[in-house]
Order: sequence, then C-alpha cells, then structure tokens
Amino acid sequence: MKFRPRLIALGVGLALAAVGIPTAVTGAYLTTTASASADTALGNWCSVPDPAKKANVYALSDFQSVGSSRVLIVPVVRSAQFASTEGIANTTDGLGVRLWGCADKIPAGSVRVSAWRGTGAPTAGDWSVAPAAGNLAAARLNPAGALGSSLRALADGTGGQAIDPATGVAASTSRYSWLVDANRNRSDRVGAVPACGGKDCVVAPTGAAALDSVFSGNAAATPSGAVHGNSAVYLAANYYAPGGTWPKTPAGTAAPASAHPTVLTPPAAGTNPLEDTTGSVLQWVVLEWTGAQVPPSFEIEVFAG
Amino acid sequence: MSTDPQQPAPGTESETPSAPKSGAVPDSAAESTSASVPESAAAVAPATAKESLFRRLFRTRSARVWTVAVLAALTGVALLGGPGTIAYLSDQASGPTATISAATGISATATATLDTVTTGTSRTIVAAPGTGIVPGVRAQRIRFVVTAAATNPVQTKISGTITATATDLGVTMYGRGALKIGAEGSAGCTVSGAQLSAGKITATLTQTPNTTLKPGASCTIDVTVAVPATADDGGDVARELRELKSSPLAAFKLDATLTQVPRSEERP
Repeated sequence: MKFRPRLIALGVGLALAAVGIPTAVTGAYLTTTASASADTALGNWCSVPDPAKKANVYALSDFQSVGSSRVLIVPVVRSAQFASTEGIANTTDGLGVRLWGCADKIPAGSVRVSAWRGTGAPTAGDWSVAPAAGNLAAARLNPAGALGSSLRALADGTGGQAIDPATGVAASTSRYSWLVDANRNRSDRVGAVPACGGKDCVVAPTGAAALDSVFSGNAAATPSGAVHGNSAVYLAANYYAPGGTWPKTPAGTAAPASAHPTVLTPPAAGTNPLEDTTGSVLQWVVLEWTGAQVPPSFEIEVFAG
Repeated sequence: MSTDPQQPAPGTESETPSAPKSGAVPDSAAESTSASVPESAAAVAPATAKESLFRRLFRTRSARVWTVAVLAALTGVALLGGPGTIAYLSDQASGPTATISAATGISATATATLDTVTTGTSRTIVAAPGTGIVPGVRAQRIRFVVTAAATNPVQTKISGTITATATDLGVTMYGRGALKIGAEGSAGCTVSGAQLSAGKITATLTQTPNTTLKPGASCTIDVTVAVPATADDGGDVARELRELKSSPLAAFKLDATLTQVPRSEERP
C-alpha cells in the first residue's frame, strides 16, 4: 500500500476534531428547564377602623350592659383624640358620629346616640374608667352611677322634661344635641331636627333607630345622604345657646326656635374640660344599642371638628 | 514501511511536477499518477506558481517525518490532556450507550396553581366571597410543582430561581412590611436567600443532597403571599388599601433547571 501523507494528515485532522467534540458538547451533564408562573392580587373586602388603633371608635360589642340595653358614655372634647379617622366632608365643623359596619344584611336591633351639655365636673365615683393623663377617648363614665344614671334618663327621653323656673327652659331642651334616634335615617346626615315652637318647648330623644335604617354595611355603597361606603355620618345639632340659656333677639326677647350645629372649641390650656357647662367645650355622648346580636364589625366613631 | 524505499525517488519526481500540472492540465496529471492522487489533487486548491505550505510539509522525506511526528504529538496531547474528554470516555464506557444519546434526553414539567387560603379572622375586616388577598384574613398560595419526566434515564437535581415582579403598589407595601412572602419546599427542594432588587424579589431554588429526583418524581414549592392587618409602621392596611381592592400585587415565576447528577450521587 502506498504511503499517502495527505490522506494521513486529513485523517489526523479529523481525529483531532472528533476528539474535541465531546469536550465541547458533553462537558456538562444532561439538563432540561421548566418554568411556570402565577399572579397574585388583592381581593375584595369590607373593613372598619380598628378600635385598638383608634381610641374614638367604639365597638358595639364593647358596650357596658345596663338592664336590657348596652351603653357607653364618653366625654368628648375637640382634640386630636377625637379627630375623625378618615376625612369626611363635615361642613358644619361640628360634633358627629359615624356608624361603621360590614354586613350584607343588617340584623334586627336598634341604636340611639345623643349628646349632652355638662353641668359640672363628675366625681371620682362616676367613672368606670377614669380619664388618665387627659385621655378622654379611653375614659368610660359608669352608666349606673349618679351622673351616668341622670344622663341615661335624659337619653331615653324620661328625664329633664319639666320647665326649669330659673331659666324658663326644660333641662332636656337646654342640654340636648340630637345625633341618632328614631327620627334619623341614612338619607340625611344633618336633618332629623325635632319640632320646637319656642323657648318653652321640650325637645328630647324619641325611640331608638332601627339598625337597618341608620347603618350602612356595604363597602361599595355610593356616597349619598349620610352614607359613605360602609359607614353613615350623622352631625349633632341643638336649640340652646351656650350655657343652656335660650337664644335672644337683639331686642332682648326670646328668639324663635332655630336649630344649629353643635360645634366644640378646643379646651383652653390649663383648664379642666370636664368642668365645662357651656356645651361648647365638653359634650357627654351617650351611645346605646339593643338587640340580640350584631356583627363584631359594628362600631360607632365619635368625632369633633 | 515496505512502500518507503520505493516511494522516495518516483514519488518526489512524479508528484512534484504533477502538482503544477494538475492545476493547469488535470487530465495529464491523472494519467501519470496513481488513482488516488486525482482525488487529493482535486481537493487541493488550484496551485499557484509558489508552492503551498501543505505541499512543502510533505515534499521531502525528512519533512514528512517531522510533519507526522508533530501531528502525532498533537493527537496525543488532545487525547490525554483534556480531563473532560477522559471523563466522557469513561462515563460512556460504564453506562448504557442510550444514556448519552441526545435522542432520549431528560425533560421536566412545571405547573403553578393559585389558591386562596384563610389565614385568620378579624373583627374589623370581612372578606368578600371570591379570590384574592384580604389583609389579615386571606392569603394567596402559589403551588409550584416540578416533575421530572418518567422517561428520564437518569436522576436529576433542581436548581433555579423564583422571581417575584411586584407592581408599584406591591413594592410600596413590601417596603412597609405590608406584604409578606413566604416559601416552603418539599421533597428536598429548598428556597432560600430572597432578595429585593430593582422591584424584584428573587429567591434561589436548590436541591438538598441525597434527595435527587428519580424519573417521575416531583417536588413542590409553596409560595404564600399575605398582607397583614397592620403594617410595620402601625398603619391599618385594610383601611389604607380600601380604594385599591383587586389590584395586582406581584407576578411570580419559577425557572427550574434539572441537571443530571453523577452516577455516584444517584439514590438507590
């Protein structure tokens, strides 16, 4: 056989190339890839402010039991403690309550909220939870105490009906700011003004309002009247002049009855707001409800300003 | 070797003149040389007046000896010098030929299933029916399952990443501690080292030793995405996000690579 150097060279070259291939191609082990993906998103829910975070929000289930109803009485001043938890259009700049809840169907039951001008500082025995370090939002007046009992009597329309000879005005009329009672419903946050012909009228709370007529349990509800999503806002108003007197005309005679918003001014530095008797600094707000059971999300926020 | 003595004189004489001719007059070159020469001559580019390097390498006896010697040395280096090459050869020798064949390689599938899971109850938050995350009440769980094909001829191990690409809302929430992401693997798959970078959270996927995936076996990675009721800064998340219900938060993608393990690491 002839010696063929060029063939040999070609063969050697091919051999070199062949030897090189495994290194390049199978240097790693067999591999394969696979992938998958999924997206996450928020869902839908209804929520109310957390009373643990907002001291001026009171869950109905935390109320104190007195007889067949559950009551909570808190002293309210215009301060950061009682700032509204979320911005709402409060054109009167006054005292108000916001009823919160989450429920497709609002259960049976009733609720009544009223506010009362103070007549002097409470005594130590009037408290269930005395205000500590000026923290009024966390304080609770004892509903069964002397002051608590008198406020409850006013709130259920049985107390203060007589005309006071000294002022010519019934005690109820001279202290009462209406918030939520049987005259109230979701269609109006300011209305439900009780009838009063003049100085000697007696205005007092009527029956409690049905939960279903004043609460809104639907987070998607369109703002309308008092309704703001799953809340309803009601503003306080009264007939009396600061201090409980009847408003006068410039001529000095008794003015015609005219309801006006209950507006609070921040307490002056160094004063004890609990001693206020004008009704312009302190208001006792009486919250009460009756019913077998309410959803745990039902609560009442009290705000000033 | 027997051809050697005969080859030198006629080979050099006949080939040297034939090369220039083969370019110019191919027919006459075919006559004067052996049958194989035209093939190689035809393969070579048409010769120029100057001799090519290729030809010079084989023109004289001593040149041929040197050339062959150098090529042999190169071959030896190629065969012995590359550890990969040696490993390849020994691996092929020890296993069935089919395992190395590209036609029956390995494959895998990955699936992602999205579930809504209840994580707790809240007095102030009520979840609406349906899917999606609800602060403090409901979370979403993505279950990634990576399955090695039953036809795989070898055992494999997993490596890869899980990447979460968050929306602006998701990034903001994550920064406030209002978006919690947890991952848990089973069957030897572990997820670790989650890091946020440029709006993406990337976690590494690995396989614990001695848990190789046999053909047909799978491992599961559960990624749970939850929103707490309270952010790290004390914010009420459910109230703050009330206008952002149903917003997308993050897209999770799993990229897994299955790699054949060495025979020595396969499980019995």
